[in-house]
Amino acid sequence: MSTKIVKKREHAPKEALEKRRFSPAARKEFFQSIAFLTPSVLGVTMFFIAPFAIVVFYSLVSSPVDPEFVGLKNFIDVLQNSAFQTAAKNTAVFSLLAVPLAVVLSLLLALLLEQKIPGKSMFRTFFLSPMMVPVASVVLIWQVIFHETGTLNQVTAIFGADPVDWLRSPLCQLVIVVLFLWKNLGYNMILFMAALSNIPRELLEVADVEGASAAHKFFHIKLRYLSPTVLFVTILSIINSFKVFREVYLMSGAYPYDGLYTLQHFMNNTFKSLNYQKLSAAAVMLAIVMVIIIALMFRVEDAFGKDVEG
Amino acid sequence: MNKRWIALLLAGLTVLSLLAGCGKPEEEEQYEYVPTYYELNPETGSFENGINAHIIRGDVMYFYTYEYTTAADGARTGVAAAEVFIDVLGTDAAEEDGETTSRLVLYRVNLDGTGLTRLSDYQQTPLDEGMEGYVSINSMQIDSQGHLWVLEQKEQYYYDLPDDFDPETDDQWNYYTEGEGGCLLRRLSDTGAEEFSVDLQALYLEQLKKDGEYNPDQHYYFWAYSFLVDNNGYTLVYSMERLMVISPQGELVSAATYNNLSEQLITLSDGRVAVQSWEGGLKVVDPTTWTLQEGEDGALPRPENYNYVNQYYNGSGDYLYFYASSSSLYGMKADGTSERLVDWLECDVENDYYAMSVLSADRLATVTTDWNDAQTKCSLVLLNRTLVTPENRRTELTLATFNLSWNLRRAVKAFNRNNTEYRIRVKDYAEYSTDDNYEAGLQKLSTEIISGDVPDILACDDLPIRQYAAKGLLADLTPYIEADEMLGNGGLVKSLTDACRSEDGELFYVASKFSIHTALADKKVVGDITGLTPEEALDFYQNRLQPDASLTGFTFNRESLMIDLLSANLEHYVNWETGECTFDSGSFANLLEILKLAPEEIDDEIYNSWDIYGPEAAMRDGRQLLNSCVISDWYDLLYTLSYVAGDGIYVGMPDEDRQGSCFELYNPLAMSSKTKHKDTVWAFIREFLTNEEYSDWGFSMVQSRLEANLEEARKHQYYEDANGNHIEYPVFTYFDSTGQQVDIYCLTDELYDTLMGLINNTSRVYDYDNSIMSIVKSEVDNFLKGSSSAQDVAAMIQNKVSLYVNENR
Repeated sequence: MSTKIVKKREHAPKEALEKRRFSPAARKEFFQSIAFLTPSVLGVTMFFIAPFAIVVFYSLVSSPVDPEFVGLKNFIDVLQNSAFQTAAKNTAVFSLLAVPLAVVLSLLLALLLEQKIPGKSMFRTFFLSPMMVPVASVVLIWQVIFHETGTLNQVTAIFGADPVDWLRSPLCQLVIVVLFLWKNLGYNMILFMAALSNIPRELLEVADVEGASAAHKFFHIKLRYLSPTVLFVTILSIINSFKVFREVYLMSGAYPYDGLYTLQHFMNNTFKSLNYQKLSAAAVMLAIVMVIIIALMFRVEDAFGKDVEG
Repeated sequence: MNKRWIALLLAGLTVLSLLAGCGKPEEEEQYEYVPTYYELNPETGSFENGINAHIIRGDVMYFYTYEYTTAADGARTGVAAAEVFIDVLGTDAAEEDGETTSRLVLYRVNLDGTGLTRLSDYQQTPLDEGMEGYVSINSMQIDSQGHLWVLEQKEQYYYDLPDDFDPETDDQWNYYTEGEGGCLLRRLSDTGAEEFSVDLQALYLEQLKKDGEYNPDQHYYFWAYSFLVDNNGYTLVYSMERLMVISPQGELVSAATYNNLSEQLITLSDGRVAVQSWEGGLKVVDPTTWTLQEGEDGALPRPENYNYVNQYYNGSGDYLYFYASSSSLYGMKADGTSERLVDWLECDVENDYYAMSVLSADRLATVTTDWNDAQTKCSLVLLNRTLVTPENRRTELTLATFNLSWNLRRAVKAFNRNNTEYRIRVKDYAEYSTDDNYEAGLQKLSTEIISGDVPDILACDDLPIRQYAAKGLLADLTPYIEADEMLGNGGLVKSLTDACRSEDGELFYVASKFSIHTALADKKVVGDITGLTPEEALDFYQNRLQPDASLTGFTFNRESLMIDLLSANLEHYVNWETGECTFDSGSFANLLEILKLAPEEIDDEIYNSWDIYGPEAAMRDGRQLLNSCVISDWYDLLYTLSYVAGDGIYVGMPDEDRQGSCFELYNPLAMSSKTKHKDTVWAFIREFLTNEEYSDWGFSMVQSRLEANLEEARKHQYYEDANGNHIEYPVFTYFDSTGQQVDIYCLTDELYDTLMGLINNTSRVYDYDNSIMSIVKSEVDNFLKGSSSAQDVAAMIQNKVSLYVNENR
């Protein structure tokens, strides 16, 4: 219906459009729109655009207290800073490990729970339960499990393994990846399950009639219909991968083991030490990287699901 | 249509609510307590011994002071010099020996400064025959009829000399015997004559006898520090766990026993009497039973921070009572609401709560003494609450602090008192810190700085000065110092100034005084060295000391030792310029081994056996290698060197660079680079730096003052004996290892050289980085518990501290 209206307007004579644009009714509608938009525009400007503009400003000056324009010096300093390099490397490694795993595993779980298996609803609740546990409790549980004298080491000790201080060893990222997956798989899975239920049954039935294999149906029908959800879940997972800082911070403080030191640690600590220009430069770079990643993902999604009705 | 208008209205309201926070807040009315000074001058002479205490009721103030005289030549000093002095001690011996005697004198003055009159008929309670001692006034009150009451305490002693006592060979103090004391409550006439008196000690003993608690073999000594006369003429005194009530006729009406009260009694605004309880707050005294009222009738609103209340005052007007902490005066209303009325720092008088009379919420009074002039000047000061108008508003400078020292407080008050154009407002950020978040105050300061609210002056204790300087927040003081006649051209102690300078040579802070944090070693053990590495310290410990010896002292626990060791070694392990850390270089493991030698907690047995484990005995007996010490006076050299019979050497704490001594600064101050009043701020800092009045101890950072003080210490000290001979006396005595007494008469050349060598060779400022310290502490605990090896801990510290250092470069 809406497509039809747009087409009609596109083909309307230019004079008619001009007339309509400057008619009293159109002007009234225009001002009413402005009035309704103003709160949102003001809110977004005050709480998102202006702070970001300030951050950009801080990233280009020597000090927020005595600002002198220094061009890209802060960016160069941050890029050369070994703490930032460590943080960026760890964040990238963690995201590259955790995000694909979160997407793939939650999709697999959704596909599994789509099948007619016993205790389906129980499993669904089971996977959602980590979302209900407060962060402080999560941290406590994880410390009990992964401490040097914790549950995991007690179990591995049965098989003769030496105890490992998981959070203070090169294996620390693995612990956090497991924590991340445990916390996020359930929600992602629900999103995929909702998307799977929206795939036209007719198409799958036709594929069945025509003898398509399960893999063929998955890659050529389901995945293509799921592509907007995959994009959404990926973006959500990337955002959540940054939020894992909360758990890491609570478990190991402002200065954790090398492998757990993320960009959020860097920014949080530089904020505390008043290094706003360094913090702002790092934040701007992170924002740019995020925009690039999301833009690329949109391109991929466009290419992958362009012929899918929606 | 209506729906549209409603929607539009809602949209408008949303916009308005968004913009609501953008308005300029209304300026609150600001008040100051403006002082009016009335100089108090007796008819002759001056109150050269100051004014000890005062009491005010209505428009009259009474106060007392002491009058001194040296009986040998009859010369008078102090007040009323022309009058004939009566030696109240009545001992001829005192006159012969030229002893100085004193007596109490009372004065009255109107609150407008007029009518200063001595209570000429006042005589303090005489001492008993054959006794020596003194009489003091512990408290004064004015009753509702305007009579002055004084509470006098008499302390007496005598020398129970044997018949064969020879003053040449014996000392009379060996026969000192305490005499019978006394506590007397006296009501005086307008001229000071006694109208009525009560012997409180006698009443107390009488009550003990009545209660069957009196023991004839016990020596009783009753004392009281405060009392109160209620509107009906009854006197209340709380002391010795008794709340004693005395009728207007002088009879003991009641003496209820309470063990949880303090001595402070006040009158509430509604006329009731209340007494301070150690449980917190005040308890009402029932005027019929003379016991504490229980239940709702006796319940008085309690100050929220009652643990910090230093003083309660009589109530008046809307306020049931007033109370004071060390920072503010509050008024408590009957409904339990408490209002902060006065910030003591905002009062431009030197005195605080301890010498203040609260006449009403709008009017305070105190007495000040200026000792600096050739003639001591005492003044009655009335402080009236006055609205600050644009005409009398002074430019405000802000001083940020986390620990307002007494001296800095005095300096601020003096500045505010003497400056008509500027006023310093102190902002103590420690108030914002909580037990849960110790750094909340620092976070608040940092946030305010970033939002542009930068203090003009920063008291650097507990502040991340290096970070503030790196952000360009602090002004380089070098140009101001160089332009100063006294401080420029080497006017400051060079080694200290160099140690304080940044890598770029800027000097961001100066301190009024400094000391040197070092460690003493016995030359006989370590030889003639200037410093020692942790490895060398361990070597000496293992090979040169007795078994079961301590490396740094039996009274040093691990945490204190870690702070000292790390502060001394931080510069070695952390290179702030390159961001390189070397905790994993191997030598750090030696520090961990040293830490392991210290106990986690000090056993009480150590303190109980000081003669074995104290540093004096342990160093002397070769059971302790190093004694950590702070040298803030040349006397400290004597004390510490005496541990090793003078044969010691200050090597500092074990340090990889053998530079284990460092400067500790007292009250360092910095100037904000953003302040618009740099000259005024510098004037304040300079005054604080150079005025000796604002420092109690430590060496002056000003070279000329340091030299002058040491020169003074090099002078020999003499006293004059009965025959007028000048006899040199030692300022310090100790016993060497052979038991031989060693007397020190003044700062010797050798000691002077030792001290100057220590000052000149010290090149670091005590560096306590809270973040690094907490990282190291958390990791070292794992090593000390045995859950991690020294190498693992060193690697972990290296890892974490590197992150911290690189973040902050």
